[in-house]
Amino acid sequence: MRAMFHLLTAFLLLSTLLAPANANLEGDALYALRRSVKDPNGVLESWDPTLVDPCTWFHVTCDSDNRVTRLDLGNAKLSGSLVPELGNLERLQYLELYMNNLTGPIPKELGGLRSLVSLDLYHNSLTGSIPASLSKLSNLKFLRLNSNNLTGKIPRELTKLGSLKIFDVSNNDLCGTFPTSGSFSKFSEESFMNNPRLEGPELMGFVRYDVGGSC
Amino acid sequence: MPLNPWITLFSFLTIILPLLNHFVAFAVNPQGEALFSWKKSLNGSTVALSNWDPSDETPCGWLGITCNINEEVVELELRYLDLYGTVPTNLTSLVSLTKVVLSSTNLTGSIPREIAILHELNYLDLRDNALTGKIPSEICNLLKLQEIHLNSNQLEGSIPVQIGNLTSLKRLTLFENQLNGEIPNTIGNLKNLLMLRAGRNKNLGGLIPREIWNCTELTMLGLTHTSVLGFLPPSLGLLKKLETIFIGSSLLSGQIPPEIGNCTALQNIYLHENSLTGSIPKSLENLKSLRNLVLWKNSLVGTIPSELGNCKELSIPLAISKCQNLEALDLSENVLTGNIPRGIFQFKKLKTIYLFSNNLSGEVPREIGNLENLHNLDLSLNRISGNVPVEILGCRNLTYLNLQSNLITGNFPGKLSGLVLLQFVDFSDNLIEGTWPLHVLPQHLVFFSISRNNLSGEIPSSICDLNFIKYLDFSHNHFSMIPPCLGNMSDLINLELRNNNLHGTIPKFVKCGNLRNLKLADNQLEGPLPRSLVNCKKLEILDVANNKVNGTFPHWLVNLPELRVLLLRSNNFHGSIGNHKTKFSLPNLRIIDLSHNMFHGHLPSNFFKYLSAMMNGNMDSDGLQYMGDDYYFVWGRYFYDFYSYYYENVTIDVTIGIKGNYIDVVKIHTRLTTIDFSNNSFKGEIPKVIGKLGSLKGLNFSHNNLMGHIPISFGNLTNLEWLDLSSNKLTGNIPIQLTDLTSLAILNLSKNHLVGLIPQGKQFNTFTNASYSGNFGLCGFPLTKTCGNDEGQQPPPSPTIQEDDFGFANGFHWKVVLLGYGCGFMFGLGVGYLVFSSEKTKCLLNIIYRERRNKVRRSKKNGHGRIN
Repeated sequence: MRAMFHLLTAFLLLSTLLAPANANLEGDALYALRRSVKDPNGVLESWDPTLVDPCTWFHVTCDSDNRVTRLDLGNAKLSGSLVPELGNLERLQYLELYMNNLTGPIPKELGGLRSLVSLDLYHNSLTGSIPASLSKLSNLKFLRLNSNNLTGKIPRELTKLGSLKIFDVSNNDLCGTFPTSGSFSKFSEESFMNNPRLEGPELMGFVRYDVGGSC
Repeated sequence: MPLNPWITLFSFLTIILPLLNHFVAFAVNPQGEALFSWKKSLNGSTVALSNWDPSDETPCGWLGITCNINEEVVELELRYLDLYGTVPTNLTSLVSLTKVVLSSTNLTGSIPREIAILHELNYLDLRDNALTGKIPSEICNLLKLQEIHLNSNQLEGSIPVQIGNLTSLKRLTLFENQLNGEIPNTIGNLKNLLMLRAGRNKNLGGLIPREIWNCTELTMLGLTHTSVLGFLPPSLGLLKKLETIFIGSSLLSGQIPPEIGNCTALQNIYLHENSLTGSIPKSLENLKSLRNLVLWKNSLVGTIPSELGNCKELSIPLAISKCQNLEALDLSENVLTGNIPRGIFQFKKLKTIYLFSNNLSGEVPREIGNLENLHNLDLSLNRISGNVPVEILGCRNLTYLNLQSNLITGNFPGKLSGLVLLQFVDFSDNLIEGTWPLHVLPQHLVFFSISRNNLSGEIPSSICDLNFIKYLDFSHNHFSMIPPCLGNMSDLINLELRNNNLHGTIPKFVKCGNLRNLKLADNQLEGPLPRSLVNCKKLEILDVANNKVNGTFPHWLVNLPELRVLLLRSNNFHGSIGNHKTKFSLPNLRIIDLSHNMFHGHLPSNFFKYLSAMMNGNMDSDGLQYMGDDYYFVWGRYFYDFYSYYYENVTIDVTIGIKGNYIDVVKIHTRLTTIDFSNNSFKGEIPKVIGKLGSLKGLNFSHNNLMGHIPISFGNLTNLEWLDLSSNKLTGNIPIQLTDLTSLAILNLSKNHLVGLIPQGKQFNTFTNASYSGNFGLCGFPLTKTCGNDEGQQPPPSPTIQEDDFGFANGFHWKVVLLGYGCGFMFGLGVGYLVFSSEKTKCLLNIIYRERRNKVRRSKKNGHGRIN
């Protein structure tokens, strides 16, 4: 009973905290990332949550409406995990977090980045599966997830990404078959290589996509 | 062999004396022995305990020791000594102790469990030491305890549940420790409890147990700076004796229960920085003794209950006595609406009224003049309109007057100089028009701002008679003339004259030894930059951007060792900035903007060689620092019912080109380093030495006549976030080393004569056509032109990119660019020389306004930080 009350109070508290927001939602989302990662080189040091927006933070680029369009943190020695709050950056076009030591899963909330053009998470230690929600990123042109520890199947929904020009999931631990239809018809096997459990292209008409041995 | 008697005696003494000494040590009774052995265990100075002499029969005469008639030690009381030891553990002989006070004695270690044998103990005070470990639950067996003071230590763990056994307990102070867990609900058993203070235990959380409201004797409840959460229940009203409730900076939510009006003894209500909602209960009118009502930074809505004021308006002596003790009213940072109730201004003892950051409207009531004792009036960040009534001159003790960011229209009535104690006056960001009686300002002003109004006319030279003024801000008005004497104000730190209609030349600066910031941007000032500025040895920011200043590059600036920001943008400067013989030494320079002038000639290597502050690319992280953090305006000021110091950083308020947008900033990160020489006529090659400026964040050489190659050394600029070399005559390849710039967010190399393969990978995966357009020899991703096999050292990432995906037709990048255009000049798009149009200015003001509001909130927070 008491625990219930705690939960209720916590919820009420949370809602009151969130209510007057809009002040610096995007800054808060980025700040959640800052809190979630280790930053030995202090590259996120300028991320001051008390500022009215994150547009003067280093590694963050905004448009003229002070909305975040780029996050450039490649090769920044960051470790730790990504945060679901990143999905709130609805004008984000470039999410560049390649060549860090990021671990944990790719939050499914990244599917909310409806302006995203480029998602570069290659050369990290990300685990879990590729969220099917990424198929909502209708502007996505570049999806580079290579050289991580991703597992599971390649979501077939990604074939809906009509703008996708580059798709690289090589050097992971994905399994099953990979789609060949839709935007995936352009991609060569190089995009998929070095996934020991990946069985090759799906055989349209003969084998159902989701029938896979070790997957 | 005859014995030498002297030797014999000596031998005897050497043997016997230590024994004797030992024997003397035991001359004292076992109680004294226990105390003396504790003394010997101390590592600090025991000079104060010099009369703790073991040759005494009893310790009863020793410092800090009290005995009863049976010569049993009943009190051990030592304060403010550097004992550097632990709490005594050998207590078996000291069971008669009723009182132990070892406060501020630099004790370490934990509170010993052995304390449990002191069954007579009724008073335990170990406050202000460095004690660690848990509060031993054994303490709760000492049923005679009436007071426990363990505050200001480093105690951990939770408050023992058994605390409820101590039914005699009257005072329990545990604040300033590292306690965690929850407040045990057994606290409700403590029917005699007068005082519970457990604040500043950041991890002490959970709900405030409802049993606490059974402690009907409570006069003081302090839980500030904890993580306690939940609602204040109606049963709070049962605490008829409560004088102070101090639960600020915690996680309270819900409404303040109207039953608080039943706590008729309440003098101090501090519930600031919570998430309290709803309105301020009208029942507060019952609190006759109320002195401090502090509710800042909640989510309180509604009007300030007029009942608060009505107490006084009844004009019946009884009613006057009701609220007349109120000294501080702080309802700032809520969502209060409506007028300020006139009745508030009947409380003659009021020293502080803080109502800033609400949505209050209406005018400042005439009754303000009743407040003879008022020191601080802060109504900033509301919607107060109309005139400031002349009656304000009745507030003879006013030292701080802040009406910033309201809708005040009227000119100031009468002579502000009548308020002789005024030190701080801020009328900025209002709607005041016409002229202000600036010639009658109070003599002791330290801070005066009237920026962001619609004032016009000349700034009178009498301003220069303000001998103590440090901060003077006339920016963003329509003032027309600078009095020449402004260059003679020796205490002045900050002079803000930005964005007026100032004509004529910049005056001579003779006595300006304290001046750090001089901002003259956005006026019509002419003539050269006066060389006399070399007298301002502390100058950090020199901003004359967007004027008509002419002359050649001011080389004499090398005599200003502190210069950090130099903004000469958009003026009529001309000539060469120097040659290889010119000595440049600007060791602190971080931001330099020479853009939009008529400079020509080569870029001298010498200029860049000595920019030490821009070189240290891998400085050790020393935390977030802003320019100007190192100095404050400090002056004494009343906070609530005690005197404290208020400090505020200087605002920066300059416009800086950041990633192609001109952004108006109020804070400059100390590592923001930029060079903008764009839109001049510089020629020749880009000096390689620029590659040594490892901390550089932004470089803009666009729209010049630069030739030669992009230096390979640019690959060392690993902090670079924007690079604009567009519209020059650069030749050769784009150095592959630029792919090392993993922070680069904006690259513009368009309109040059670059050739070859565009480097691939990392950030170069993210640049679009627009970065390279107008270089007809470039090929490879993202351009449609593919490289022949001869050039294509690196294959573009598979698969091959099709033309229409990155062309102008699609043009997602162009969308960004055009959005940026509204707020300022966007480089490299042939937009060229965008004059500061009115639309742009409006947009800038918007940014300024938003950041400024934020700044104010923060500085207020600093202020409040002092009283928690």
